[in-house]
Amino acid sequence: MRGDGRPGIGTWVAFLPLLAWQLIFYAVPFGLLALASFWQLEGNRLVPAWTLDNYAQVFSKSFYFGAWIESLWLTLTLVTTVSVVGYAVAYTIVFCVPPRLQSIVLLAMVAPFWTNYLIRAYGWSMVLGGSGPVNSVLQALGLISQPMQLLYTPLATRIGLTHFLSVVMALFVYARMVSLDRRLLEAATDLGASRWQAFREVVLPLTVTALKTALAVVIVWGFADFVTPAVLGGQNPRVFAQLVVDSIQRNANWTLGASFAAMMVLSILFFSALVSRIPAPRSQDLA
Amino acid sequence: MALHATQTEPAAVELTDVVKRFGAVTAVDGVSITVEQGTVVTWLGPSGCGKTTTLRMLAGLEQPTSGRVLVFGVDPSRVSARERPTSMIFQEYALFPHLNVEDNVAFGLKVRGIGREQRHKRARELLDLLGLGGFERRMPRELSGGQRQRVAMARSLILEPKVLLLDEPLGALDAQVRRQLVDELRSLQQRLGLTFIYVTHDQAEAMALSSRVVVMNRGRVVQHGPPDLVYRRPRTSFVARFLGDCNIIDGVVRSIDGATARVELGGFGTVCIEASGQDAALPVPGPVKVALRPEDLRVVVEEEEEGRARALVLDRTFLGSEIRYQLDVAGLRVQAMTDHDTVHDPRTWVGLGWRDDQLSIVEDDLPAVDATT
Repeated sequence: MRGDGRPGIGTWVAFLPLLAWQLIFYAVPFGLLALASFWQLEGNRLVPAWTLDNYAQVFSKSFYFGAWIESLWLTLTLVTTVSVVGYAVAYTIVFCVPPRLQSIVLLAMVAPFWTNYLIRAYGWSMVLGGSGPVNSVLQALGLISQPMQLLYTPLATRIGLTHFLSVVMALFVYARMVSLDRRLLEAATDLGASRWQAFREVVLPLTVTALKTALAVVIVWGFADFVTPAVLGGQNPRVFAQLVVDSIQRNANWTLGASFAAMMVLSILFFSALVSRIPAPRSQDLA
Repeated sequence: MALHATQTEPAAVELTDVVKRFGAVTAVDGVSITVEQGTVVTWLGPSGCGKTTTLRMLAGLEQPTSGRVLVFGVDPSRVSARERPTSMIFQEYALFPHLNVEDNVAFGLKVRGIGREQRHKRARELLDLLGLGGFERRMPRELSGGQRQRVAMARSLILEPKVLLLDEPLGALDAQVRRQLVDELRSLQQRLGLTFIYVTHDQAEAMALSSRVVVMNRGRVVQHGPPDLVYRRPRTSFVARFLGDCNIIDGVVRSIDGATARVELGGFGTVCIEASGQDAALPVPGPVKVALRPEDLRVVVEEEEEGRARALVLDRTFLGSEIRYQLDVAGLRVQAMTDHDTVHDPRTWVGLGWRDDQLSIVEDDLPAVDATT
């Protein structure tokens, strides 16, 4: 170790494998993708003829731009629902479940994720389907006379993704919350804080970093997932990630697909940066 | 609630037959103690003796299983935290790590809806009072242990409590800082006229601070009273050993004359011990345990002065201000603490001197030889 605290040459050598990994599996492919988004297609061949035409299409064709808006809207709703549901689940486990039962509850929560993602989505499609339990119960209660159209709606997409992502959120927040010093809460209570004030002033500020970290995952899934919007949402309306699949798999339009993908990555980076800049709940006057 | 409207002010703290069980474990087993206003009372005992649980009941953080807890005539579990006359200083302080010093101190006023300007002005006043002016913007992690302790004090004092509950407040600090803070706490207490309930396992801290000590063991109060009296006249062998070093010597009571017992004490010969009066029953003829502090034993050179007993020096330890000897008195191992005037070598014979009023007959309640109940 050197005394001046600056990393020595050994530190940089140690970072080389990581750097190489990032270069080979992320930077180079993404660079190629970004390049391709500015190229043109002649027949089935990529031609390095510079153009902004691909991006112009995204913004000019309402079908494409509408899909981007739909993905943005999906992500925003997920950020909201997952923050509330996932955080509430973590809070309940930490503060309402006896410690020796907590690991069992966590296990029960995570267990559905041992199955394939696609199978889980089909599971939800059965639950939400016309003859599924949700409609059966509502009908039995006499609340509806005809089965409700739940499956193949934007709501179904949000239910499926909220379930999945709330578990991710709950795990992130749980890990932080369970390690909070309980004396901090007792101190807050002893100083006269109500339960809500203790939460607002102590628990939330000390766990908000975990919440924001989990939100990065939520944003990635909200923008990039096309399976759930297809299986549960019935591709109606189309999400942006589906356009990538369509243009590359179905139409073999590599350059357009590349510009979709580049926009998707930029959107994710932009909104992740936005979330990470949300300040920790600032001390406000409660008066 | 307060049915008997007497003229006298209520005691600061009144515990009556308080029991607290956690499942099968009895943490506090029938404690009855009254604490007068404006005094410092230290709860002293080994970990797990029930002292912290007692404190938490006073703070309203735990409810007694049975018995009655009153703080200034009010049952703390029946009123909200804001109405309690207590404030607690937690072990390791429990400062809010995401708030700076000033916000930590102002917390109690903030949750009461006191405006920003006013509460921060008050916070700064208290920080000045505690010698922390200029540290307002620091975060707790940027402070030393002693500074954190003061921030915790300021955070509690801002609410002007009548009783301050302190749970091992100096436990995490090194000896030098502790001594300084003990002095500060004492002068602060005297200036503000507060009642301090202080929990510690450190007997030196307890004796330096308090007007009374309450010695607890296994959920029960073993002895309470002014620290010097409890130190000088321990009621049981546990109290004797917990408050400093103590020789516990086997003896036999031969006769009783009034309040004085004639006790045969092995190599120490026959001694006369007066019953201490401190809620100790008169001994009956038969085997007893006798407590003798190491510093009460005088070690003399045999040729110069005749001692009351002879002892062989087994070992000698230099402790700075004093010397500790391990001695053999007719097959009995005892300790003595002396100053540096004369230094005795191991394997020499010495004479021993003491005054009989330095001896106490103690009830034997040490776990290792738990014959009595």
